[in-house]
Amino acid sequence: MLRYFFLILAAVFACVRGAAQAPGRSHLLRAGVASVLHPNSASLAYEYHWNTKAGMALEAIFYGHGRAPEGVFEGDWVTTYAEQRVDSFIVWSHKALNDGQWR
Amino acid sequence: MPEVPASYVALNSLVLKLGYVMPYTSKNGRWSLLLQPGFFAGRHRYYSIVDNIQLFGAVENGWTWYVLTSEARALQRTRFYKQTRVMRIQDAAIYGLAYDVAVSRKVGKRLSVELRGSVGYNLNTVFEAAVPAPARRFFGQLSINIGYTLSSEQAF
Repeated sequence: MLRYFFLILAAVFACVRGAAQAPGRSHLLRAGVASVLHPNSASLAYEYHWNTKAGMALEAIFYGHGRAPEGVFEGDWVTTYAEQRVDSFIVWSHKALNDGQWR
Repeated sequence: MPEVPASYVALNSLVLKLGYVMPYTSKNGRWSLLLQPGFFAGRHRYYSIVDNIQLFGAVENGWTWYVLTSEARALQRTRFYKQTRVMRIQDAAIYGLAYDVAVSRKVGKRLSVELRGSVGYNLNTVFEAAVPAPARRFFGQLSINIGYTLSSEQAF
């Protein structure tokens, strides 16, 4: 995807360099330097205005969302494991303590 | 295996946006209001995590001890699990509609600084859960842009 972006950018530069300028016509490059809602984003745009009332813009925007958490395995993982637990139950014969409970 | 925070981890997005620009310029040519309807297309890269734990066996053993005044019982439980986790980077296509509104101020002959607000409506959402822009259904962006006019004839 990134190579298509650079191919488009190279084609835009070639068009701009060879374009004959006419009154009211303009070419503009625009870069997004700061974003409020998405700080990890950057943009680069090319605008072509064929007169003072209308034009078109082609903009590439990259959003970085972050990285995977540390220590997270990437790939296919199959494992088998066993879990063992021992519970003890004490029944006291003494009359005052004759109520057992799981420990 | 270590716990994963979610079944979905967003990594990055790259979109191309094409728009039709309608500039409205002030009389002195310094200030401009730009309206830009358009559409966007691109890809959203993320980790897809599928975690599955299957119980395929269980054994229970019990013992009882008798002493003079008490009785003790023990229960041993053993369970066997099979855990499968598949975690892969995946790309999803995203496309939708966008509308930009920008206020631009020319600085000098070629430079311009603009405040641009953008909203988007994604037609191909990857997940309906909380995902970052531009993969979610509606998203907005407010950014500061610096422009450089390449041509000698200035449109605004």
